[in-house]
Amino acid sequence: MDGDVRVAIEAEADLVTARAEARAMAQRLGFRRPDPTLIATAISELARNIVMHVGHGEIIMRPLVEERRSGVLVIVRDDGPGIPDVDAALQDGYASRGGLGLGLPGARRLMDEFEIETGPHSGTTVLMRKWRVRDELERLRERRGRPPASAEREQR
Amino acid sequence: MTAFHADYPACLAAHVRHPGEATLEAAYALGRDAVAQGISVMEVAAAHHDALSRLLADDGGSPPHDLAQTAGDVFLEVLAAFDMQQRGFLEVRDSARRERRRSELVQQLTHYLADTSLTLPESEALTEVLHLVAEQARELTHADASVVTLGALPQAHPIAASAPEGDTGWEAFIRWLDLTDADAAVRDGAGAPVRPPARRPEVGAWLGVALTALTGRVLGCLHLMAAEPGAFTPIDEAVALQLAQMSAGTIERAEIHAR
Repeated sequence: MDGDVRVAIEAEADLVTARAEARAMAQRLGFRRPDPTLIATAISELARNIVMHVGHGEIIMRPLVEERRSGVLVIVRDDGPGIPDVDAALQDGYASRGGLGLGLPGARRLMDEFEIETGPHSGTTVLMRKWRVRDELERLRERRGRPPASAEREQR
Repeated sequence: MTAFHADYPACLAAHVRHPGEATLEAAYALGRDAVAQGISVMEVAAAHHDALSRLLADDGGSPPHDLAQTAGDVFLEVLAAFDMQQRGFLEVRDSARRERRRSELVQQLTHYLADTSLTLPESEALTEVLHLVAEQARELTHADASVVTLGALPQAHPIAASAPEGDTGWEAFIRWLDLTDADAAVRDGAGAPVRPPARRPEVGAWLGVALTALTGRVLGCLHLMAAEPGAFTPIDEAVALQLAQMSAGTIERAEIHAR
């Protein structure tokens, strides 16, 4: 879709690219501290899972703009063996190879919406959304063709 | 001094010198390690302030405000893993509180039903008790609406219901709801929770439990409805089953007492 940003995940170095793209998109959409960091953290955790458990996948980031809120949709996809027990995987400490065991549950808690689709040999797709409210002043500024105040602050 | 205290100043200085995602990612990784090592948030704060103070004293070129802002980005990244862990802790704590509250309510209701079952000669009093069961069942399972039916098919009829106060949508829904088919489906699986097919868009999840007497006679049903699909958990099913068993016992004892 228009505005989508795709990042292939094959190595640890790709985490940096995915995080940078997510942070930039969040800032363009007017997210304020600490939300860009939280989005980058959720992406880090899931991208790390791909690198550790599957080897390759991709992350798609999509801006979401509605009348009263804007947000980021993050789609994390791999074509690995799937997760045999999703409920268990969403509990802390699941299948942690020496890590914190917070990957999926940690990402879920950092974002506002979290969905997971997985099946044997059909890979895993995680959809996460983070929202921020667009107040009346911001919508007024937009109608008058001015960027949101937060974007102006970023530019400065 | 821990590895974290030794690594933090270098991590902070690297980002201040070359701000970018790579140094922020390194800061996040440092935070993850700190969580794994059991470093406390206060230790992180102390390490940050010590390192920032040294940078401010040594770096005469950057305006202090800019330096503090850039350093703050590192601080946030390191704290992100702590934040993630704390959210998990809060989730578990809230869940434990909810379960404790649920357990207390079930216990109170159990005592109440046991105490009142022998003093229910009036049918109005039984209706009142079943209203309480409907209300408590809705609260305990976080259902949007609940209905208790009483009697044998095809004369079974709703005797008590509960919906969120002031929610005209759910109130109207349960008032006009025809439970004949749902009741029949629940009775077919008497004793075990069943989910009759939801036929209305308002209902995403439906949990039905039979009120079964010790003789096996089905006295009625408890229906729980929620807008959210998949709203009912196995714990909700167990709670509904327990309430149904207690209610059936109360009705049965009241019937015996009335004779």
